[in-house]
Amino acid sequence: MVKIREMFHKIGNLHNKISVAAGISKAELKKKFKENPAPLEIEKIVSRLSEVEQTAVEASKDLRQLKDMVYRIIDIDTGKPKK
Amino acid sequence: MESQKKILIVDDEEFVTDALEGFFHSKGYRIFKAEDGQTCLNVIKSEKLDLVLLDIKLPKVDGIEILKLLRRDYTQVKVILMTAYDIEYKTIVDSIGYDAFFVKPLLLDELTREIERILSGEKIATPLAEDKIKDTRQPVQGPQFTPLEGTLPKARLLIVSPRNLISGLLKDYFSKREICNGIYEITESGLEQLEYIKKFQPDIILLDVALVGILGEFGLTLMKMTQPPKEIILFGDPAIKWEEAETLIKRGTKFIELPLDLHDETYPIQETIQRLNNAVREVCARYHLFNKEAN
Repeated sequence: MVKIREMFHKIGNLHNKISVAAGISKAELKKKFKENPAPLEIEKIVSRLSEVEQTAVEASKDLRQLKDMVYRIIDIDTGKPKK
Repeated sequence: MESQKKILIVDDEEFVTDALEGFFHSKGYRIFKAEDGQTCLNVIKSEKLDLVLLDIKLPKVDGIEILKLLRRDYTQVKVILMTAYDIEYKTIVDSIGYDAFFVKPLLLDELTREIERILSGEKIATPLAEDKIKDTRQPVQGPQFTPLEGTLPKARLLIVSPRNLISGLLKDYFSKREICNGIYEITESGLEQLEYIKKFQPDIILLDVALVGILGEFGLTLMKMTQPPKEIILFGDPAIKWEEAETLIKRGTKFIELPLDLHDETYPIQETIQRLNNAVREVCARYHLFNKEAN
């Protein structure tokens, strides 16, 4: 069975993948339209990708809070409630 | 023309290293990447790097150990740490030193700005630590004993290694009834499992030298235990036997060489494990941790 700590680590890595993927895509689009002004649709996509990045950061902050709460009541090695 | 700056990207997520490789390559940097600590060490040794973007939690060799190596032997290389484990590791990495610290998830714009700032030679924002982590644990000293004939060790044995293959091999070996009638547990990283180790209260810890950088904190926790372990036996690759390990060995801690490459003909694996077993038996004999062998 997957340990709680590993699950938190995995979710943290997923947030990072989302953030990096959004950041790279945004940078690629900006680069592609560097010479000429980007169409409005592209500007919107870039803006939404920034939101995706920020959402990953927010989700990660919430995850850390959740982790702290879980660690206070669950023994992370056994997965059982602390006595 | 100015030569390309060399950056090593180290993260256990291949997607992340691939994505960042493409991005920073397009910015004109020469990029190397590694998804585990051993590959990272190989690149550090073979390339004259300008910057390492280093994840702390890595398979095979811990990121903290790599940071210590960089700060000790490759002081010209800049280091940006990135981790999701900001709280657990911050104190330790602060004491070792780095050039920038990022908590995941990474924001590419911020990361790019920081890399450009550091490689342009601007003043380092994060002060480097002057004090290294000290090992405060006093190893048990005592006369050498030979294992008693006709006895079977019985001990709470904790195997701490980031290498699943090695820890699995050791657990399989020590779990055999004819080898040791004890209780066995394995953890991948002593640092993450300090609380657990306190609860488990091992008699003997078999500690991979790849993790020896944690000994400052590890030692403090061991000292606070109501029943500290009788002895720690170090094992691991001689190539990554760091300063703390050397100090402990000089003070009498046993070290068994166990290379990263298990096919290394210099250290046949069965003989190596047998040497570890002999070391465990010596400790058991010294502290009378044994049962009479059943005939």
